[in-house]
Amino acid sequence: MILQVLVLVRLVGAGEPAVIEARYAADSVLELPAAAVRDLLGVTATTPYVSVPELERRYPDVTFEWRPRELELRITDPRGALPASQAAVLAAQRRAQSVSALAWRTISGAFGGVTADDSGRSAIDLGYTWRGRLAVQGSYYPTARRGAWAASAAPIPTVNVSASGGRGVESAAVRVSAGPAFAFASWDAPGRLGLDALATLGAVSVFASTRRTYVVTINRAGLSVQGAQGPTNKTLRLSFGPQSLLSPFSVPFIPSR
Amino acid sequence: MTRSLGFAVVGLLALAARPCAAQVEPVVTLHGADGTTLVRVRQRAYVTVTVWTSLEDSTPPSVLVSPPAVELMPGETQLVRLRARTPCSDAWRFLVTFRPEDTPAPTVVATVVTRVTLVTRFLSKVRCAP
Repeated sequence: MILQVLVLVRLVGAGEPAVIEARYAADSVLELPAAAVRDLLGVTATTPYVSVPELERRYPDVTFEWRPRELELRITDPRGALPASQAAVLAAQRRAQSVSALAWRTISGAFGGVTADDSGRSAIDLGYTWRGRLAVQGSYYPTARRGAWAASAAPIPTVNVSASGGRGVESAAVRVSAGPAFAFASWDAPGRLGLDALATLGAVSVFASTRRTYVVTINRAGLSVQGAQGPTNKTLRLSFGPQSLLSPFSVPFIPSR
Repeated sequence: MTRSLGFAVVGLLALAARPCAAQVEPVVTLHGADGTTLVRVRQRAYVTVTVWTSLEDSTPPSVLVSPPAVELMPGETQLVRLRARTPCSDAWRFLVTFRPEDTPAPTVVATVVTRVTLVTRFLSKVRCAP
């Protein structure tokens, strides 16, 4: 007899848990609907239901812990073998690229600091941040007798606008991160404009910049490949290992000496 | 006379029965279509869970109850999930039935043995919330 059971499926460290309608097969094996497995874990299946033992065989590095008293299937993926785990890491990278340093302060309040070195130079910083949405900072360098300022605003979580300068605005930037896409536009006082953009589809990310830089990255569990065209060189990188995900934003670098 | 006899029988049964050793939440709240509740036992028991359409109508509405039946060991707690497939109704009642484990039969039967098995049933209200 097949028994329908409502199970909370939780992939630890990635995504939101969800309650799905799983079933107990006649041999008391827990089976998950293929659609839910695709949505939650990024795993495709050719049958309408996928059993937990089958998932364990396909992903031996992943722990599937069934807790019948709590009706919870807890999945732990320390090596990022599941597509959903990899997607979560890449999404976190894109989010990290979309905020300036000021926006990491999520608690409202004043902040500041004093810096000095043994050559007599010093710097005084003072600023204020409001709930990680708005931050302003002023700096003064007594030795150089000049000041600088910076401001950052994040009206919505996916957009960050920043500007900085001395007597006037000397640079400005806008970062937008939405799902699998990322864009960054910058301007500085001489009038130079720059644009970076990233799009991700599954394991493939494509990055392009007006700085004549193009990067294609394929991130897979255990093996990642990255090819890049910079202003002067073409570069290829192969990365292997348990956590081999490559940042799709940067060109692989080899020191000249 | 009949009433006194009835009270006496109920009183004897109450003395013979074990103290109620189960716990169920008095109100089960469904947020939209989904809800959860807990069932606890102090003694080993076979537990069945169902939903009634109302106090007077034991017909189960279209609600998925998970698990519908489970055997719990002493001290165990079971989470029960519900998912309504029809619009929720405050008239629904959540029903949990506890059947204690069977006591073993005596090995030497020297006389007639009468066994009283007390099945406990709890009815909880269902509250519909957005």
